[in-house]
Amino acid sequence: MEGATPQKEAISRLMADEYAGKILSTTHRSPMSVQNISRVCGIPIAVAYRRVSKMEGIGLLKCVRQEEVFRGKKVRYYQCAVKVLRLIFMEGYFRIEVEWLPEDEFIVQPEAIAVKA
Amino acid sequence: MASDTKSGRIPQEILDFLRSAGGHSLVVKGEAGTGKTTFALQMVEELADEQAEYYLSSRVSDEALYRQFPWLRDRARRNNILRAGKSFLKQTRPVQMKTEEALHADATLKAAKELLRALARSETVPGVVRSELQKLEGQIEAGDLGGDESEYSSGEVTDSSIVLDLGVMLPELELAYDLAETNLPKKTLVVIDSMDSLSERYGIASHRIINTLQKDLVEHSGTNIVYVLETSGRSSMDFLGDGVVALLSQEKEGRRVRLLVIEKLRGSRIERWRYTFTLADGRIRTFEPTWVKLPEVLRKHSPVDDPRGGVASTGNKNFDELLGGLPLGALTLLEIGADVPQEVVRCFELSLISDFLSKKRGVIWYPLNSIDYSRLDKQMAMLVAKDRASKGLRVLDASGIAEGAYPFVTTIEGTDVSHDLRWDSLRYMLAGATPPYLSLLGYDALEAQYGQDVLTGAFGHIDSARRDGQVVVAEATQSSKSLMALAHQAQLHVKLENMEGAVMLCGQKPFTPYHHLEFEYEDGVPFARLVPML
Repeated sequence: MEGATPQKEAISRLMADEYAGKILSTTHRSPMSVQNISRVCGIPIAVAYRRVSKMEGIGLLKCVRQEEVFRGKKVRYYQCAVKVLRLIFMEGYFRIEVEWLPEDEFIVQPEAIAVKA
Repeated sequence: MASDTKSGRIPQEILDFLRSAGGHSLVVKGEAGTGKTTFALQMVEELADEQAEYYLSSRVSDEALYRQFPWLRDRARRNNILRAGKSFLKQTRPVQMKTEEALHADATLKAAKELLRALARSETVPGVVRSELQKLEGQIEAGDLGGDESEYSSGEVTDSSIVLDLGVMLPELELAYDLAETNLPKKTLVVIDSMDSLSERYGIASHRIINTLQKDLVEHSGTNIVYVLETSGRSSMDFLGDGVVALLSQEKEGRRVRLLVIEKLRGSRIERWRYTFTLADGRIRTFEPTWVKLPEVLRKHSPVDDPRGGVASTGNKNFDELLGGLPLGALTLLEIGADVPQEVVRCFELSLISDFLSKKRGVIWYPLNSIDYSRLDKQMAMLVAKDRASKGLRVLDASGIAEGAYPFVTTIEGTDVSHDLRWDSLRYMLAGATPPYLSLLGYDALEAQYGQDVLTGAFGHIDSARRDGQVVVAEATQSSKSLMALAHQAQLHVKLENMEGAVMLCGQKPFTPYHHLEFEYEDGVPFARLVPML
């Protein structure tokens, strides 16, 4: 990839991963905890945590808030940090262009409890 | 759990192992359909009075299993409620709603929380060690686990519980900890069926989960855990469990053979490590070694009705039902495998002979093994009416030692089999009896007396008896030279085999599965019941 930064290289690798795509789509509209991502996307819990950690590391996901739950346990909510992502093939090279979500578009309000009968 | 559900039998040493002091883990492994779930659930039943149970199943619903283990449906429901309740209790933030309906929902939620707290009692009884579980959860949260998801399928993660957020990372395991804690000081039996499925669901390698449970629950909290594995080969899991039991389903000459193998039970003595078993009636039932002893006192034999016209009864209605009875005018072969106890064969012989004699029919008998005539005399006096043996039974004896001593012993020359077994002569000796007659011939003994090609000379007897519409039963061990030819000639071919000490019967012609012989001392000669190996 021409002129690729380590971040873009990592993004391109993750984009080839089925789980990463699912996680971005799922957290696009509203932030989600990893456990909910695991359930909604059908990703084993440990795999979901690992993938979210990687995606947060390269900026694809952002932790928008943290809640304390039981006995000091904390739950973090993640939101997709990407507004537009383009994969361009031009003159024999692939290029990735990312438009990041502006700070004011992150949702920091808590999500409601979802009850499925 | 009703006591009548305990009809199956699993090896005592396994139950003793789980009953012994402290916590123990047991790995149960086997391919699909080998009975792992049935085995695990029967253990739960067997220990129900002593150990509370938590059965963690990957099955969403299994009606067939619920029919076999009716209590399981209630347990599955309870576990789902407790698991959902645990998630619920950990939720700190109530739903943000402002309508009247929402306020009503709030009140309902509050009441539900109280109820679930009472059910789960997660905060009231401290006890089990959770350090490894917390370490595991910490590693998951840090993204240190689940790196190689190619080990696990990416199948849909589903469960039948209510989806509630949040705070419970590994809800099934946490519930196991909670229940083990709630039951303290009483021991809890946790069954994970299966470990492969749980590993796939969490994205954590099986050995990592087992290590966590082993250290926290088994070693430090005295909990018993049964891990069901969906494979049968040797693996690293074998080293992690305190005990290992393998369930095998093998094929032998087109028949299913089920084996339960105790590979290890750490700290326990294993008296017997291989068991044959059946899953008939949806239960594991291991077969005990066959040991039968003819009692000194026998009650009179009750004649068994012939199954239908053209066949005679074997003297055992279970054999008749399985094999259809002994065909008249045909050869029946009883093939006796290595290490089948003589007493088993003798029970078969005495039932058969008694049945013929009690119906006033005649019997010619060339015994497979030498006979104590005085004992036979006493047995016949008890089994059949007073003069039946003297009128209808002729035991052929070439040794001459009992000549004239017993009316049922007929001395023969022992040099020319075609002469000694001449049918019209023998028929004449049975003038006091009515047909059909039984000719019961032990071929190993005939070969020992007349040489290995005895079959050629004895064919005249077989042919004449067959043409005359009589019953001919040949007994031969696997070392008999006549076996192949007899098998070819036989219309009915039955085998007795010793399998791990248990005697099995199967029909070769007609073809049947293996059946275990279970002797009961009901009436007359010890009575064999047949339990199919399914």
